Amino acid sequence: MKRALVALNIAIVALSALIVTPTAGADVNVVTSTPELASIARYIGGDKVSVYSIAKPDQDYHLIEARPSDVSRVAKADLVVRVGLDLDLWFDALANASGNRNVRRGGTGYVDASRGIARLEVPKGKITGASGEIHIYGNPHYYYDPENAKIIAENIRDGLTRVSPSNKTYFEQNYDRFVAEIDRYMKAWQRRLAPFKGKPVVTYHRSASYFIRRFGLRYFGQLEPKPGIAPSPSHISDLVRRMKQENVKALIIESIYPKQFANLVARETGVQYEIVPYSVGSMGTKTYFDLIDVWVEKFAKALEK
Amino acid sequence: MRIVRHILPYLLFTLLALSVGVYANDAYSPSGIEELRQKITELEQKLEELEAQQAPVEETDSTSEVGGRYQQLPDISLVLQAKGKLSDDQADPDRQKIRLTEAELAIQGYVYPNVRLDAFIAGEPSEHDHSGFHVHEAYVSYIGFRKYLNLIVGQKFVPFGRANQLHSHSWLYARQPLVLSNLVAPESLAGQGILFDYSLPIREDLLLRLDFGLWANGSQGEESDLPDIMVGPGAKLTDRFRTARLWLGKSIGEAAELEIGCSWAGGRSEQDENTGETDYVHLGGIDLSYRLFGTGARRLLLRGEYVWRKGTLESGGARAGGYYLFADYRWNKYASAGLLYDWSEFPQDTSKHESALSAILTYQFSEQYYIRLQLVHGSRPNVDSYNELWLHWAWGIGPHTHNLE
Repeated sequence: MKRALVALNIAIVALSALIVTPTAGADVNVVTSTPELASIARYIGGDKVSVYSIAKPDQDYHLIEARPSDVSRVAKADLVVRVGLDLDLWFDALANASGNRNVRRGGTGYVDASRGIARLEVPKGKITGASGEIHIYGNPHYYYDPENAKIIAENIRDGLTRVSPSNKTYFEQNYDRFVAEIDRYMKAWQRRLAPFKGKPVVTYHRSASYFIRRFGLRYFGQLEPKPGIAPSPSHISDLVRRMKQENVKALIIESIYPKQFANLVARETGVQYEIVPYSVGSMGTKTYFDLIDVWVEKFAKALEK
Repeated sequence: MRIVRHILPYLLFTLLALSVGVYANDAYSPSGIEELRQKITELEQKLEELEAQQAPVEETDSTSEVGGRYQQLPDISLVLQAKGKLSDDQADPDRQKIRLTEAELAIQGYVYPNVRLDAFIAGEPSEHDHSGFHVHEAYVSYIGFRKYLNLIVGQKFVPFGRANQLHSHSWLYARQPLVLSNLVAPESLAGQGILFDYSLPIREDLLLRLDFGLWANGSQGEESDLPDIMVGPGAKLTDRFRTARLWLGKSIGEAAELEIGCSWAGGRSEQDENTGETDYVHLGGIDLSYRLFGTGARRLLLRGEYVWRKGTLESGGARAGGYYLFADYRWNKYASAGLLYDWSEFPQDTSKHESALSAILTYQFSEQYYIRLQLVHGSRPNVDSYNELWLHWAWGIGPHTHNLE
């Protein structure tokens, strides 16, 4: 029995050595948890990296079902980049199943993109099921703030440099270009939303906190009564009453969420809602800049009403 | 001078009144309110920025990794399940009852870098004699023990078939498919031993996973105590046994995944109460799953599993088989609907079989709280046709995670 077991182990190791071929083409194989991180990683890594996102555009990042082929991708990855702040908890199961130590927490190929982010809405005190599906480290949707994209890019640059030090200068140059491009876009985005400073906004999920803070808008409420909890008749009714009372005109729905509740609020308040892309890759967006561009335009359109 | 002294108070009063008036008008006008709100927003933002500067952020850990906020503690969670059943089968002693079927306490965390401990202790209060708490699973995982190899030691639901490792709160149905409860285990086939878990990334879109386990002291959960209803005994692998499972996962384009698995288990079962003989049982199975992902939380799952069992004693060593076909569609994060068809022979009498068709509806209130309805129409030996309506609740508190399922 022992011999059989040893033989089986040797056979498997030998087989894996034979069939596992190195990735051809790019120097660094990057796997990200979301398309936004993939877009930024592509910018920083340029032609030195191949990038794959586990979550696909317009999939709810809270509810990703890890797939066996994803384990394969993580096992072969040189660098993984995750959102962190407990948004992509499923990524841990993938990394554990992959057996790739380098991309586990603390490994050279591990990047938590939230490192250095000034977190918002960090819960104080006790959290229970009554709080909804709240994230204990704060709101994890920091990537919708373009200033935070610079921090994400910095984390990715550092990760890429760790796994491919010979390309350090190349990654630094790309990072500098990325920051300059964000700064250039920011001027236009700030200008577009400047007239609406302090204006109230309602969304489906509380995903726009960082964006709203960056552009000086004001969160009025969400269709969800608590994070992750389905809208209830009493909550919608109360929200409609308050929206009417305070003359709130901006209703924004992230593209992945059901529209029937937004339709109901729109019918009751007379407010026409705007849909914003949840991911890079949805609603025709191709890059991170496209994503924020559409967000800015949709918010402006909603606030102009 | 005297005139000035006389006029000055009136002058000051007039100025004051005018300024208050101007201020009041401004403050209560719509534009004034907007301006104040804007100032409040700006001040709130400044406060947040200052708070953020006070506490520089390091890389964050996740609750599943280090035990949440209190980093000295492991993750501790509790999942309760209750099931109710309406049935027109008079022979079913569980009909028209609601029972708390399981309370699962989980303690999980890392004991060392890359060494993780998971323990699941379950209490199963029932009317029969099996109530009480016992260890469902308690194992240590050596993650990345060798390249592509995880090593697991302890008591574990063994990797046989697609569903055996799932805890009952993770099922997409209210009761176990009949073929699994009749031929494999009433709940889940578990053993104490060692598991070698190889994940071989053949290509970027193709994973080959091989599990090989050596086990002893097998268990299979509480057996049904239904004197007038025929049920299969499960594998009864209560002595030493071995398992092997080969699993291939291949992505089909961006949004779909095809999984093919084949499993084997073999070993000695418990002694026959009457004859004192020990049976040697072989289990085999093939499973096929297809998942198609859409936008938001949309997901279509198609799954089929065929299982056979062969013993040396029961029914003269005849081979008993069975299968289930399952389809489940989740159209948003809250709701899903499924269809399950079951067909299974009985190891103790392979001339008999049972079958059932179920319609299933699940509403997910949150990640840890759902309610499910399952309507079953089936037939079993001595009952040509029966109908059941199952009601299944699950409630969870605390961070609760499982390995990749």
